[in-house]
Amino acid sequence: MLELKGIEKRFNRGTPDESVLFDQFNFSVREGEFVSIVGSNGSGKTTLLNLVSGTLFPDAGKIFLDGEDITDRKEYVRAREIGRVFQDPSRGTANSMTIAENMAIAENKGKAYGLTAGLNKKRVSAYRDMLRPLGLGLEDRMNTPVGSLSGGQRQVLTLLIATMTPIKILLLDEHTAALDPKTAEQTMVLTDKIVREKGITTLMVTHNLRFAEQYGTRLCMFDKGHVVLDAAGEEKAKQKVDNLLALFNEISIECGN
Amino acid sequence: MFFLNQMSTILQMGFIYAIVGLGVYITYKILDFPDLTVDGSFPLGGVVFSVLLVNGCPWYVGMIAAFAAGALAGFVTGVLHVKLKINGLLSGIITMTALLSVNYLIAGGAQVAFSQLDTLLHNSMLDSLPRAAANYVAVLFVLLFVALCKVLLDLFLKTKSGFMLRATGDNPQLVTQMGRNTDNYKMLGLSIANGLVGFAGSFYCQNGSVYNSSMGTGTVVIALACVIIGCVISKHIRVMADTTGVVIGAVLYYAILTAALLLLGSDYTKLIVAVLFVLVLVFDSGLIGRTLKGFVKRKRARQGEKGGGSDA
Repeated sequence: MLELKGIEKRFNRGTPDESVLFDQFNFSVREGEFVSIVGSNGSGKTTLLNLVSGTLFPDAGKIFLDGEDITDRKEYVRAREIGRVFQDPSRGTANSMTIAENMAIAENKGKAYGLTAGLNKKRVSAYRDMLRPLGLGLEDRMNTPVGSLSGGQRQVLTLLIATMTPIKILLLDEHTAALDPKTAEQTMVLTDKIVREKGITTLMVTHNLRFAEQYGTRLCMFDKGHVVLDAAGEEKAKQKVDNLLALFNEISIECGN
Repeated sequence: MFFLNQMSTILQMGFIYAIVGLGVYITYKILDFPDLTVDGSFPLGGVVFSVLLVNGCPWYVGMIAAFAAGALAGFVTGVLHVKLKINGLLSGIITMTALLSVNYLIAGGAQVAFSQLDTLLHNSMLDSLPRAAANYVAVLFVLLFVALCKVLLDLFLKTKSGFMLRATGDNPQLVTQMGRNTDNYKMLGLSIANGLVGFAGSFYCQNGSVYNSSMGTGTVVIALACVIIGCVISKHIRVMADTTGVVIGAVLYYAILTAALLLLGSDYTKLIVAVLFVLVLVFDSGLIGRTLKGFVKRKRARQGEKGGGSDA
C-alpha cells in the first residue's frame, strides 16, 4: 500500500549543522493497517509523515502509494489521496467559516471548485447526520464559525473532514497532543471508530504510549531514523505500556538524556 | 445649497472609494494579504480609461479595460509573491513602483484631460439637467455600480471557488488538504481585488473629467480605513454583511474627511488622511473604548469614596 524505499533525508544540507536523519530507510504499510508510531523527539516520526504527505521531499529514495511512484508529486496533488490531521486543531479547518461550510468544502474534495453554490442547503441535514454520532452537539451548531469551537471539537471535526471522501491513507500527526486527557481519550475512541468503520489505512504518530499500545493493529518505535520495534498482530498484543516505557528509557539513555 | 453640494461630493467620493474598499476587503480581510499594489492600480485604471476615451473609445469600453488593467497589476503582484516567493508586502511595493512609470508612459505625461468628452458621469443628458440634480444623478450611477460590485462579490464568496478563496486566507493548509494549490487562489484574489480598484480609478477620473498622476497617492490608506470602519460596523450589526459595512464605512470616512478639510483647508488633505487612519486603527484595537471605560470606572470609584466620606 505505502512503501518507502532507500529514503535519505538530511537537514541543514551543506552547512556545518548538517545532520542525517534517514539513511537507506525502508518502511512499508499494508492495506488496512493502523500503525501507531512512537519515539522520542527528533526520532523521525513526524518527518516520516511529512515525507509521505509531500511537505518534505527526500534527498534520495522513492515513495510509492498503491504502487504509484509519488516521490516527485507536490503536497496538494498527493493530498487528493491522503487525509491528514495535525496536532494544532486550527490547521484542519477554516476558522472564520461555519461548520456546514467547512463540511461542504470537504465533501467536494477531488472535484472542481467552480462557480456553483459553495454550500448546498439540501446537504446540511446529511452533514447533521454525520455529526450526530459524535455526541458533541455539533449538529445543532451548523452555522457557528469553527473558530468559536473548543480545540477538542475542532479536532474531531477535522478528523471527520479528513475522512469524508475516500482516501487511500490517513496521517494522524500527534492529533491528541494538544487536548486535555479526557478530550484526548474521546478523540482517540472516535478516531478508532472512524478508522475501523471505513477501513482506512492509517499512520498515527503519538507520544501517548498507552494509545499506541491500546489502539491500532501494528506498533512501531522510532529512534534516530531507525525502527527499533515493529510489532503487529499477536506480537503487538504482547506489548504492554511498561515494557514500551522500559525500551523508551533505554533509547533515551543511549542518547544521553 | 452649499450643504447639498457637499453632500453630493461626499456620496460621490464615498461610493468611488467604496469600490476600492471592496477590492481591499478581498486582500486585507479575506486573504490576509497586505497589498500595496492599490496605490498603483487605482491610477492605472484611471489612465487606461482616460487614454482610451481620448482616443475615441466609448466610456464603457474604457471602464472594462480599466478593470482588466487593474486585474493584470494584481496578477503581477500575485506572481511575484507566489511564484518568485517574494514577501507579500514587498511584491505590492514593487508592482506599485513599476506602475508609476507605466502610468506615466501610458498617459504620455502627468495629465490627461477630457472635459469635452461624454462619460457615464458627464454627458449631454446630465448637462441638460440643473447642476445639483445632475450631481445627484451621477451619484446614483456610481451607487448602481457599487451595488452591482457588492452583490457580485457577495455571490462569488458563496460559490465553491469563493469558499476556497476564504479558506486560503483562513487556513491555507485546508486548501492544500483538499488537493488545491493555494497559489492559484492568492493570484485570483489579488486579480479580482485590483480589478475592482482599477475600475474605481476609472470612476475617479470621470468624476473630474481628468486623469492626474498624483491620484493614487494614499489610496491604500484611505481604502484600509474604509474597510476597517466598515468591518467594525458590520461586527456590531449581525445581519449586515461585511461588504455592506465597507460601503457605509467609505461614505462615513468621506464625510469625516470633508468636515476636517472644510475646517483646515485642502493643504492638510494627506495629513488628515493619515491622522484619521491612526484614529481608525486605535478605535479598532479597542484602546479608546478601554481607556474611556477605565476613566469612567475611576471617576465612579472616586465619587463613591467621597460619598462614603461625607456619610461618615
